[in-house]
Formats: sequence, C-alpha cells, structure tokens
Amino acid sequence: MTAETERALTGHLAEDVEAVVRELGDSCDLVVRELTGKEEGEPEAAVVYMKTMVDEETVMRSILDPLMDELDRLGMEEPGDAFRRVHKDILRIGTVNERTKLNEVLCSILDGDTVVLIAGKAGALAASTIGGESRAVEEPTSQTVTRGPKESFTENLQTNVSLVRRRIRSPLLRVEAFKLGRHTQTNACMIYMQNIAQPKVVQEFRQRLGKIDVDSILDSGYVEELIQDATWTSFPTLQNTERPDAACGAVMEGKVLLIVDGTPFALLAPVTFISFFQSSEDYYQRYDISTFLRILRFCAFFISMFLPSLYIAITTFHQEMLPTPLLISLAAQREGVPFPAILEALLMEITFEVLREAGVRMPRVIGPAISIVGALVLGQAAVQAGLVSAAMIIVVSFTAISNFVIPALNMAIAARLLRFGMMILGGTLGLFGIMSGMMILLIHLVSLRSFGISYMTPFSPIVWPNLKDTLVRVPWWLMKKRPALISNPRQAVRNASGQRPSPRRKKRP
Amino acid sequence: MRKGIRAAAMLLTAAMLTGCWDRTELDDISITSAAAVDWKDNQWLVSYQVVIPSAISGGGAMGSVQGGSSKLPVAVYSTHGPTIREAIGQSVFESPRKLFFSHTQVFIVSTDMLRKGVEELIDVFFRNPDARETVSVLVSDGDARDILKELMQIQFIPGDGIYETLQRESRMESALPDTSIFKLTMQLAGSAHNAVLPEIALSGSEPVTKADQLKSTTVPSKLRLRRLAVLKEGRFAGWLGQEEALGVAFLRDEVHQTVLPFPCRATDPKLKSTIQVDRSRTTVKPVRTADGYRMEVRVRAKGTILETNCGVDLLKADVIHRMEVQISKEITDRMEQGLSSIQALQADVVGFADLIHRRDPKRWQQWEKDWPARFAKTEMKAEVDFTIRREGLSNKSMDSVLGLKTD
Repeated sequence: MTAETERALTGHLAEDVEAVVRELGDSCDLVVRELTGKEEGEPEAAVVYMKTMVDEETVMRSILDPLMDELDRLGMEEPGDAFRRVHKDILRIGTVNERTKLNEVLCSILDGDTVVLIAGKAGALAASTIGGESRAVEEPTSQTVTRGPKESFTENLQTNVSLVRRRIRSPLLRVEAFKLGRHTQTNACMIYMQNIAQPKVVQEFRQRLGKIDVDSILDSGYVEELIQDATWTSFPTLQNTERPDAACGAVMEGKVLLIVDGTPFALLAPVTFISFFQSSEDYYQRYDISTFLRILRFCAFFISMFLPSLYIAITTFHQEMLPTPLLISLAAQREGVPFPAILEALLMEITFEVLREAGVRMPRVIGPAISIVGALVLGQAAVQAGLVSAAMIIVVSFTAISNFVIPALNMAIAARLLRFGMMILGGTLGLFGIMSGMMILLIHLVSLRSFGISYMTPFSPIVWPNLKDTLVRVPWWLMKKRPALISNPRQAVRNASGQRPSPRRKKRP
Repeated sequence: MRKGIRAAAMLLTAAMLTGCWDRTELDDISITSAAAVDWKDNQWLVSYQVVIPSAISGGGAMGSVQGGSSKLPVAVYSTHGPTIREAIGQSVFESPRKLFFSHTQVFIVSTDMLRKGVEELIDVFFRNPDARETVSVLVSDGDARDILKELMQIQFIPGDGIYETLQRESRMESALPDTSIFKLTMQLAGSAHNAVLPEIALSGSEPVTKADQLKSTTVPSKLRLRRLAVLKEGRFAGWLGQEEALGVAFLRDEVHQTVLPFPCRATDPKLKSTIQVDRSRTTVKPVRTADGYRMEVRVRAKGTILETNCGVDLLKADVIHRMEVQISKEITDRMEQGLSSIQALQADVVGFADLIHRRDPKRWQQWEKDWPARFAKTEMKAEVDFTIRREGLSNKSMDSVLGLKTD
C-alpha cells in the first residue's frame, strides 16, 4: 500500500469514494452505491463493497434496505449523529466496525465487508458481510479411516474453526487470528487450549508467525516451511491434518493448531517422531488392534526404508547369511540378468516412482490404463524379458506397498527419499554401509527438535509415562495423564481414576 | 554451507573408492553343495559338487525358457595340487565362477585320505572364513569323488540330500552321529585323540550320473549311510557295524531316539518285539580298582512299545516290568558289544580317557602313553534303567487274541 493510502478519510463523500475507487484500480467487481434522499442533490451516503466477496443478499436486506428507509431523516440530522445512528440502529449486522483511515477501509472491503460512508463525517462503517462460494464439508481424501468421523476441513477458515469449536465447547479454547502474506493477506487462526498448552510453546508459535514477511501464503505448506525448526532434513517437524477430530485430539493433548484460510490442511506443533505413526482411528478402535497396527506401521516404515538396500547388501555381499534353498532360488532368478543388483534395484525403484507420480498427475480417465502398463508391462514383461529378476520385483513392490501403510504422508516421503541413499550405501559397503547409514540417521533424529520438544520423545529422552501411547496404545481408562513435556505440567491429569468399567464397584460412602 | 558441500563430496568419493571390493553378484558365484577330498598319487584331489541354480528353480530369466527339469541339478569337477588350498586355487583355471563354500553342507573324505591324517583338512577349515566349521563330515571307503557324482531322486541336490539323510538318521536312529568339522576337532582334541565319523557309500551296481537314469522308479544305485569309521589320533583305524555303532552311541551318550528289537523272555532269544527309545541319558563313572579303573556306566532311558508279539497282557505291571528287564539287557548287550569292538581296535572313542584325566590327572600323565593298551583291558559295569512309558493304543497282542499262546 502506498503512503497515499495512509491518510485519513476527509469526510467529503465524493472525494472519499473517488479515492477508494482509485486505490482499488476501478475494479470491475467493486460496487459503489450512492444514496440520495428525496430531494435531488448531493448524495447523503454511499455503500461500497466487492460483489465477489460479499453475500449480496445480506447487503441488500440488512444494509441497503434499512438505510434507504431512513435516508430522508438522516439527511436532516447532523453528520455525527447520523453516523452514530447508522452504526447503532440502522445496520442490521452483528459486526460493524468504525474505520477512519483510507487503508483500513480498503482492507475491510477486500476482507468482504460492506463499507458505509456518511456525507460530512470523516469516518466509515465496515459491516461484515463476507460470503461467496465455498466447498461443503466432505469426507477426508488423504487421511481416511474406517471408523470415526467422516468430516474433513475445507478451504474456508470460518468453517474450519467452527468444526473445531463444535468439538471442543470449552470456554478455555483460544482462537487467535493472524494475517499472513503481504499481498495475499491470508487469514489464519491459531487454536489451543489455554490451560493445557504450554504457554512457552504458544508464545513461540506466535512469535514465529509474527516473523513471517512474505508476498503470499497460499497453503499451510508455506507456513510450515517458514516456521519449522529444522530445514535441512527430510523428516517433518510439523504435522498436517485434514481431519478436525485429529486436530481436536492434538489440541486436547496440548498441541497448538494453526488453520490457514484457503487450505484444508491444518498444522500441528509440537510433534514427535511417534505422532506420525498415530492414526486418529487408533483411538476409536479397541486398544489391542490399535497396538497391533502401530507395531505393523513401524515395521512397514523400516521395510519401506531398508528392504531394497538389505536385499542388495545381502545378495551381493553376504550370501552366506541366506538359507541355502533361498540362495539357490535367488541365484536361479538372477541367472541371465544383465545388470548388477544395485543397478537393477535403482532401475525398478525409479520406474515405480515414475509410475506413482504419473498416477497422481494424469487425468482420472486414463487411470486404469496406467495400472495395466505398470503391472503388466513393467512387472511381468520385464521379468520375462530377463531384464530384472522376479525377486527384485517382489522387493520393490513390497517396499512400495509398505510405504503406504504410514499414516502421515510427509513421514512416508522421508522414508521414500532416504531409501535411495540407503540403497547406494548397501550396494557399495554392504550391511556395514546400511548400519553406518542407520547410525547417521539415528544421530540426526535425536538431534531434531520441534518447538523445543526432542523429536524422539519419549524414546530419547525416555519419558516413561508417555510410552503409553507409542508402540502400544493403552485403553482409555489407563490414560490418566496427558503426555508430559507437550502439555502443561500443571494440568497433567486427563481422566479421573477408576474409569475402568467393572461390575463390582464399591458404593460411594 | 560451502564447507558442508565440500565435506559431502569428499565423503561421496570415499564411498566410491572403498566400496564394492568384495561385491559379488549372485551370478558370479558357484554354490558348492558338497565337497570331497581324496589323497591320490601323493596329491590332494579336491572335488566340488556345484549347484546349477537355473536347473533347480523353475523361475528366473533363463529357467523359464529352458524348463529346468531335464537339466542336471549339479555339476562335479575336481582339481588337484600339493596342498588343499592349492588344489582349490587350481579351480580358477576351469571354473567360470568363484567357488562359494559357505553353503557347503557335507564334506566327504576318503579312507585313503584319512589314513594320511585329517589335520591338514581341519587347518584349512579353521583358517578360512568362507569355509564353515558346521559342515558335516562323512567317510567314503572308495573314492570320495564318486559319492559326489551320484544323483538323487527325491532331493534334487545330492549334497543337500546326504545332509538331510544324516540329520534324520542321527535324530531318529542315533547309530551314526552327525559330526561337523567342529565336533570332529573337539573329539580329536580330547585326551585320547580319537573320533568317529559316519560312512557314506554307494550301494548298488552302476552309478547314477545321468539325468536319463533318473527317469525310472528305481535306480540302479543309491547313496546310503553304512558304517561308523573310527579315527585313532586323526588316522583311520577301522569300521564298526551299525549294531556296535549303536552300542557306542549309548556309551557316548549320543542317543536321541532309536528303535530296538528285543526278545520276550530270557529263555527265548527270538526278537519278537520292538521298542522305540525316546529319551536316553548315560552317565559314566570311573571307579578305582586294584590295577586301574572300572567304568560304571549307568543308562537311564524311556520308551514306547512299537510292536509286540509276545502274547502278553500289557495291563499287568509285572509283564511290563519283565519287558523293561529284557530291554535293559538288550541295551547292555549292545554296549558290551560296542565296547569290545572298539577295544579290539584299541581306540577309545567313548571318552573314558577324558574322565580319568579329569578324575586323576597325575595318574593320567603316567598312563597317557600306553592308554590304548590299557583301554583295551578296561572293564565296564553297565546298569540300564529302562522305563516303558507307553504301550501303544492296544494292550493285547494279536497272537494272544487268536489263542496261539498265553502267558
């Protein structure tokens, strides 16, 4: 905004309206309605709004209608009195703010407010009439569950905040608004529980958001990259979710939620490594199956990161480790394969990554075609032509499938990328290489932090009470305390004791 | 930042320099399923039974084209040289792939080679990381190489087949123990420096070495475990038959399970019933006598009756007790038989030397030189405590039902 817009409104109606129109570049969707009383002459008032941002029905019924009815009488009053009466009596809108500066007026108009200017008064009234099209609340597309709520965040901030509000009807739920992006002026809401969240983390979050000074924020991904703790890592230090129930669960554990307007993906912090393996379904299903699935996901994570490299290392360096029949069978499959195992694996992995990316990008209509090409041409035909061994196809496809087991896509991506490094290590230095790679990875992981919390908590540093929701998910009646370090220690107790259902309960005295 | 990139680049080049020196693709190795050593014309003759993977597993690029079954599963070839490793080294002149010994399951040695001594072979095994000490060692009376050439019907890879047979035998019958290089070495390192090894032999007329010969339900010859070879101070000393071998196994406490026929009564020596020994435990105690030691052998064993034609009622406790006495006597006989045959060879393979060495180290030092002669004269007092645990599903034998004989 130029210095020109910093000035205050003049009070001269025509001049102010003209300034607004000029600043907004005579935009075609800007509506300026000048209202003149019964006597011909200068207009008494002007209503200015962007027709693409407001709900015109509301503007007509709650602003224009009453204003026009009262216009004659307003003309006879002093401008100050008229202004006050419009504000207090006439406008039938919940949120009406007074604006005195030109740039404030411009901002209000761009936010979807309807601005009412009264002749002779150096001020304006901004009535919130935001409207316009938005997508309905639908089922989540990337984080699906079989049991649990089927609602997902939308692109609309108001809707998203309401989805959270409706789940946590506590007076202690805090919603703080931010405007991010110099030009986009994207609205964002930081949501947390005042008593549960760590005040230090909230403060840190606020500070990091305040530091953002960029042109545009079009998705929460922008914010994530600007506020994350570690930049040179493939491991995510902020979690994203499109599930309001998962977001609320995290808020109730003391995490801070950031909803950004225009994207259904909300951000959560602080996070630990383990939180990327927790699906919201874990808490809706029985604890036994949840525990089983947690362990399964961990196995899948390791498989998706290490299986191809282990296969390469063992078949090219440590053949003595395999049982004899397996070795003979693998050797038979490799008979006549022209490439070394490492090259064979890299070829197949890259082929799969290409297929996967193609599957995401291509038009829906030709989807089945690509699966035929992928499965038949590249899998079976490659083996029959003797270009790759069948075992390698099995390894690569199992690796790929395992990767999809990880509930958080950004963690799956980390495994997906690191796999290639591991393959090169395994292909050059054997198991020794993989072991060294694993060491480096582990050292890196324990050095990561997310908003002051060690990434590997509660494994390193070991926090015994937090282990109740890691590899195992204990029943709800055993989760008496909130996760330590993440939530405020003064509000540690979550559930009352004695919640375990049992038929013989002592009567209360 | 620039420093970081430079360090990463250096690390990357280092990885390229160091890596891959012992990288071997699966199609660069010859998996050796069995190996054999002969001593011929003052030279070592080492033979290898090499697996041809594409012939065994139908899958794979080549396998599917050629349709594995008609191909032979293994190839055998030999190299010779003045030392064992030199002979193995000679293989590079004729083998397109690197010989890979980590998956060798059996090692066949000829009696000629055993007469020369087993120590060179053991040294090779313990010195080289690729040869495993868990390889089972078997003895062949003729050329060890001929054993490798023989094909097998059910188990595609003969080396694997020999190994499985030996495993099964040593678990189910216990007469011939499965002896690895490690066990052999431990036995030879004992006080008496003696050991036993199972024999593998070709039974039948013409050796089966062609795929065509396998296209028949019966083959003219088969590989068969036969006798027990006795090694005295690392050299071949003689053979024990399977019966004596079982007696020796009882003395060595190596019986896991075995099947034993026994007579009904002391008066009737006909073997009409069979017992399966399920569990056996032998303890040997040397007892000082006037001119040496008497070995008190105590066997505690349990078993199940597999068949009986004694015409007895197995519900009666005294009948069972009488049977137990008969079985105990049978085991005692076997042990005495076994002991007398190894005493004839003057080879203490049952570890009496170790017991005396441990009990009376001073005396052992005096006795050590003439232990073989002393061992030949050592007396044994055997006591067998046998319990019949189960008598099977029926309690009467068929001949008693038919009224052929009552007891």
